[in-house]
Amino acid sequence: MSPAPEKNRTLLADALVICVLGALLYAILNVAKEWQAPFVADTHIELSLSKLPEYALYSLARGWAAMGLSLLFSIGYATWAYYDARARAVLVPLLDILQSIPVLGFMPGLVLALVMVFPSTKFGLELACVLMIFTAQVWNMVFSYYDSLKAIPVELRDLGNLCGYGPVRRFLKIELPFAAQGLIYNGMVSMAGGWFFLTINEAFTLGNKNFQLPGIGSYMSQAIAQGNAGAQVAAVVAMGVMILAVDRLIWWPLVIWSRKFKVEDTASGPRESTAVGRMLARSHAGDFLGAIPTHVASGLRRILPPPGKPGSHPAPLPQIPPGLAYGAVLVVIFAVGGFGLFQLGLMVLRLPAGEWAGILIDAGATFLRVLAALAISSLWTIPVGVWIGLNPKVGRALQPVIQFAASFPAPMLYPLVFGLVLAAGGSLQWGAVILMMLGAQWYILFNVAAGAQAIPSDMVACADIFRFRGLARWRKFLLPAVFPSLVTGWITSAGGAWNASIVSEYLEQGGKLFTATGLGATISEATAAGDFNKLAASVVVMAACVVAINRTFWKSLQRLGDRYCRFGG
Amino acid sequence: MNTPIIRIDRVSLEYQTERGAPPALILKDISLEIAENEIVALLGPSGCGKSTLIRLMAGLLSPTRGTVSFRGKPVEGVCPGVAMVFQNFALFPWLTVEGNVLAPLEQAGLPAGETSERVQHALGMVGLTGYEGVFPRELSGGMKQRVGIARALAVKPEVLCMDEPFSALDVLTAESLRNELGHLCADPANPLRTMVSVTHNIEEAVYLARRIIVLAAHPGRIALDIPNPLPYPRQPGTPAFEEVVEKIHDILTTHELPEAEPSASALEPLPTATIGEVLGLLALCEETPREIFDLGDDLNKPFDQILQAVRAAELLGLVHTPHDHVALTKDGSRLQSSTLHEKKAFLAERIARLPLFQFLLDKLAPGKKLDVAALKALLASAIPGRDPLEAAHTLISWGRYAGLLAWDSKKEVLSLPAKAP
Repeated sequence: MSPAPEKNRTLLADALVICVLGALLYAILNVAKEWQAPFVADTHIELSLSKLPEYALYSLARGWAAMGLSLLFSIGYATWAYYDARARAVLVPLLDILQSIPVLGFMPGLVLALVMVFPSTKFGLELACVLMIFTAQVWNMVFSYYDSLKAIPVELRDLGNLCGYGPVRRFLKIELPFAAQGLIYNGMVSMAGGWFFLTINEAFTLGNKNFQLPGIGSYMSQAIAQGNAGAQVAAVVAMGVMILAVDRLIWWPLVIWSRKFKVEDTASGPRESTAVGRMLARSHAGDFLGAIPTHVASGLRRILPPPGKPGSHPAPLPQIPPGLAYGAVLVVIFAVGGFGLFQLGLMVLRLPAGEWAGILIDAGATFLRVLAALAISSLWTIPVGVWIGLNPKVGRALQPVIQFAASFPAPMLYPLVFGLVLAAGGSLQWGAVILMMLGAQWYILFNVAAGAQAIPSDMVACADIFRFRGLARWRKFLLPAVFPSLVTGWITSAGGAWNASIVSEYLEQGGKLFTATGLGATISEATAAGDFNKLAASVVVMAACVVAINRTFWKSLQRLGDRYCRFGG
Repeated sequence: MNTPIIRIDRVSLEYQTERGAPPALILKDISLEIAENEIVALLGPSGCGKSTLIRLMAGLLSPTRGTVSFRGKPVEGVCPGVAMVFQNFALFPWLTVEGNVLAPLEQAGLPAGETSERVQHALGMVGLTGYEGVFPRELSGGMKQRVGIARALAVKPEVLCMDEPFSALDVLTAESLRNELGHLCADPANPLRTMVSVTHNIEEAVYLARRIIVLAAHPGRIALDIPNPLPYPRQPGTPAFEEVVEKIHDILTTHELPEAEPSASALEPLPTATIGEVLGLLALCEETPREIFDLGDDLNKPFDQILQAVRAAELLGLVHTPHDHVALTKDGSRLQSSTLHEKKAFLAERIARLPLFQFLLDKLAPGKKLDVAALKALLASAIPGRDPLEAAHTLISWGRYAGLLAWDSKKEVLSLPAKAP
């Protein structure tokens, strides 16, 4: 191909980039207006198609606001945990527990509190929704940033110290570039995870009150409540388009761009590029945008104190001031946390003993459903995952499809799938397993595919040469080979399935309410009834179940896999 | 006695590197027969397709053109009667030493009594008796490869294929394991008589093989097929042994580095060496001419990597290679004693004269830019059969050094530099 009509392309590219920027500005203004609108508990959601783009925009804005929050929180939390050994002892295990808590259980409290703080505008409700999305996005980003901090080579840190970098410069010049790749990749995954509970986050019922925010999620809820199949399909399509657009236009260019931070990459020469990247590279507007970081940097340089002289004594690590101030901070945190924990304990204890038996039975039922969901998912995801992993061409061809399917918030498909279950004469008791699978199965598929891809080619050749065929090939070669990745997939899937039980065991369909025996249904029912004691108890039990199973069963499987099934050990 | 076990008939193998690009030719028109009782070494630089060739013999790959047959029957799928020893051992980490040797026998459906007897015998042959219950991760590299060899011997193959069996081991371990394998070849108690081994180490080939097949790269083809009549057990270091090694060195050098001037007319791909490596080579050969194989030993680098640097230096007229020695030319000596600035100017002038650069500079008028796709298409047509991306990397790195090309890694376009260097 000849690169001749350079000028035309630049003009076209400019026009495109400017259009996009204009649209972005308009969108931001629009969202700001919406957020300042006076608070009405029962916002009317219109089901006309022409409203859908606007609603999509609102949902998108919430997703990105949550993403920004997640980024800040991840950097703050991980930095604190990395540089403060005492705090680390608490912060890292805490993270493990936090990510196991079914956050949906805290939504009622959060909404009430924030609506109370901002009684006159919608800001409180918006903030609650953003925070709920945030809690679904943030945890793997924290882990990613923390791991990156740990992985920064000593030489790079030494260099920073020799150049006299303070904490801010070190963050900007060493830590952030080093962590960028992981952060962006995990951000992409998180963004998809954040949409999961959108239908509930944007429209939920507490006791006799309805809290609704305009968005795709509430549009879907409204369509389900009215039994409007056309609107449901429209919402699903709009969600799909939104995910696809965000993925292709924002995340992929970012992922490719972030490869320049790959530390071991020393080669210069042709690299992969994306359509958006090429477009930006060709346009003047792109040059202007590209110059912004330079301007920001020179501005920062003026604000920041100059780095110490090279070779001077390295600046000490930014220890949070020892002694009194530090102690005071800890006391406040422990006081607040302890008070919260105490209150939660009181609420849990206020639950009559008779109800406890019910909750434990529910937990057992949901546990069995989670197991069933994992087992059924494994039946198809393991063979397909291995097939994809061992055939890179297939993997490349299917990757966009699978990624899209996995990013799609499964609860939006529940009405359709449960409709099929009902038509086949099934009940929610069993149907909930299928609904839980919809979202959870992908983690197994991804992990198995990655595991199969990592099998050394010599091992595959060896299994061929020594004629491992049919069932023996699976039993003696493939299953053990992907076992460590399979366990990782199972753990993530199980977490997802527990969480999904809240929406899949309690479902409104065609104006009728369906429930299944289970902890998820109990949480949803307690929310709907405004029974906070029961809600607290069931949320605590679910978190305890997830953490306990992770700590015992999954950990030991993981240890087994690491010990016996890692190649090259 | 010499009915061929494996027969390879005009076999070519192509590999699609990326969609739309012309396929790279890995092996070109290879014909070869392996007879019963032959011990054959496939010798050649990396990238010559020797590992691919042995995988074709084993039926792990199928050729694009031509046929592979085993005892007269065309091979479909994995070849029966072939066992393989792998470079990186390929042991199952979840099985013990015994389990690893046993698993293929169970697959073959042998009765339990016979399998355990064979496992014991094979482990005994490689000196691993007593290690039955140990897991591979507890073993050193050399021990792991013993398990790999025992596993292959236990199935009593008609042909044993070995893909660089010692190159993942440290020098001493490799030496001792090679020794033991040599004894095993000569051991009458060992029923295995036919062996094909892939190596890039000349001494290893001379030590083990009765027949040495030398492959040349780009595309992979048979350059030489020579018998090695030395009697077993062979002693490295003895005059007779060194003579054979020397002879293969000589043939390899004349083959790989023809005495004639490099042709200036054809578009030859650049050797995949950096300018830094070329300058390093000059410094090493400054005092006295050096033997090219000594250089490899001294630097502990694969032979073919040294060869690339030598070729690059020769292409730039800095060294010449009388026989298999590397000596500086007048230009080379002058360059060695010049300043950094002079070096750069001189090399820029030399690089600019290379046909491939002339070809590229013709396409790049001032102000004109080539993007990645255009550059790859251009190189694919100019030097067919080579990976255009790899060629582009070398080209850009030399061109940048010489100040002849400017590569904008942000926009990924190639252009002439803004100002003359």
